[in-house]
Amino acid sequence: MTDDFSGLEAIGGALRPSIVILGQAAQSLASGDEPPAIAARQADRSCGTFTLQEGRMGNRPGGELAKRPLHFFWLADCSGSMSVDEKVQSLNHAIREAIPEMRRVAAENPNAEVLVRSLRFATGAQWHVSVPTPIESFEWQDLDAEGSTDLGHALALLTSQLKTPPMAQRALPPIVVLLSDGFPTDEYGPALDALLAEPWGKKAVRIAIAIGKDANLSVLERFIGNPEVKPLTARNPGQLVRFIRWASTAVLKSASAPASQALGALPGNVPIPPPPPDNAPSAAEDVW
Amino acid sequence: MGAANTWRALKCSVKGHSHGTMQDYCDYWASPRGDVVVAAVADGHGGARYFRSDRGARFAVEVALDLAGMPFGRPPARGQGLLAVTHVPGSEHAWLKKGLSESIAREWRERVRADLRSEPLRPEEVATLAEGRDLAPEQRELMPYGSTLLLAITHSASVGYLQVGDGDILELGGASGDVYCPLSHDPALVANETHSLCSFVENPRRKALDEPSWDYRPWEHARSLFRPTSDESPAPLLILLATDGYSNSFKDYAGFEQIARDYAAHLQEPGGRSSVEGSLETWLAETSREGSGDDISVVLIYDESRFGCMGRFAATSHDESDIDPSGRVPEQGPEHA
Repeated sequence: MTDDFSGLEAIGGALRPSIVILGQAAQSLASGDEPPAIAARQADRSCGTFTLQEGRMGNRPGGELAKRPLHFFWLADCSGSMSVDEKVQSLNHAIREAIPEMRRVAAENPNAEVLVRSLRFATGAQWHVSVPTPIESFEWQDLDAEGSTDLGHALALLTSQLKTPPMAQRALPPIVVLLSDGFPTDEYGPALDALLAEPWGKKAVRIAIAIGKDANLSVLERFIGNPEVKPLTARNPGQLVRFIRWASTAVLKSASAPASQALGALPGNVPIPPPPPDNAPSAAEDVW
Repeated sequence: MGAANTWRALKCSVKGHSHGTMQDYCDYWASPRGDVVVAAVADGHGGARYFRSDRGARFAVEVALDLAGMPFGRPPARGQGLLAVTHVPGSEHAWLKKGLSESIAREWRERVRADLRSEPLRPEEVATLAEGRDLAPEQRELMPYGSTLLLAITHSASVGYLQVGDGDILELGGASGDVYCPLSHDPALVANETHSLCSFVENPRRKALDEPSWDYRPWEHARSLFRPTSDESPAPLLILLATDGYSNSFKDYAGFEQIARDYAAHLQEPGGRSSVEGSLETWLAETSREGSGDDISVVLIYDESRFGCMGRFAATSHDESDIDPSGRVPEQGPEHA
């Protein structure tokens, strides 16, 4: 008996006896990347006595159907500086304004179940909305601002939710929108590395919006981790509204589509639509 | 020696509820004697940069059937010009994992190049590809056609599988009703990312700047399994190949695995094959509409000779259920001696 497959070289012609070869190999064990437990499948030729229930022929095969979950996270800087010039009030207003648009996008993409949560970080970090909430029933409760800027704590909380489980294998790429006006006051680097070490953390769509000109853009760029996507800088409440709306609608729509991407072919696995124009604000319009 | 298998197959593709064009493809070949079935499904990536992935999926299936069917007497559909299957002395697994997978990839690439020669990319398509990271010209050449591939070969003495990228292969074992995944899922493939026939790997052997940075070796990410079968280790009763739009439509994976038992329940009835053929498109369309929204392609392979003496399965009830999770229902009376 030979395992030689030299008989396979004919192009278009009749081949032979690979069937004989395979038959002779029947005594060998299964082989492959992950050989199955052969013992578990042996002696399974017994005849059972079961009855097909009446009226089942029309039934769709399989269990309960469900949309694919799409987790959306707001990470909001609630440090003391956010209480200056009504930045946190503008943030609350902008997110609340975006919710109806998010619902519209969700309705237009009925196969994605948009589930929203939010984190606040100041001195430490806490869940503001901890339960994944369907956008249809999501209501925004105002944040206030006081304390430092512990971004690392927020990233650690986020990372815990991007492990598998609780993330489901069938979920769509999650979206994380980071909003900040300043510099992290804790050691955020290891926390960010841990986030990006998680498959779901690495493949999440990460967007960053700087509130005012004092935000550390290099930190936000590092959070985004995609050279093709830059942090947006909102210098007044109107820009903040536009940028938050873009992050929560255009990006949401893109992540809702079930198109696949070849692993490693592109910097991100979700095409990010271009952000709204900056409108080159005049100094008089700059508030932050 | 046990009874010979009589392998039969069914196939169906439906366009995703949320899709504009179909990106999936599937097909099979069954030998006239019923001792061999070769089946393949493929999922074109879709999306802005994969604008010819519908063709890529079709090329993948056609090439896979041509090359995997050759040892079993299937004349290649495209006749002349096929690359020879690489001779790999040694085990059948090596043929699957190295020889066949590499040959499929290389032949697929040739089909893509031929398609580009007959229909070059338009300037706007070239511009779309230029938006990616630093890609070599050959990477840009193949990317629009990017596709996964799942392949099954069932034979009187063995079963074999080959997979590049996402999608699912299920086996249903006999009267126990147990459902198996012969190839484990790659935990790195989440969030719609997948291995692909268009994938390149970094060239670790690059020693000079004029050598390519990237190598075309998508077979390195292929998963495969070869298993001899016998009376002691029988072949599955039913095998199912599906693109990931199918499993992504169910609330949990157990709900997806149930399809194997349910299809068996339908097939075992008198006229079951015709009934399944008549209903398959409707079922898949409903699944896409209520679930993932994605294209769904499926090939069912079943051993007709053993349906006659295996235990019957109860199909899932979506109105009420009084059957246990294994799909068995209480015995009503002797069905077989």
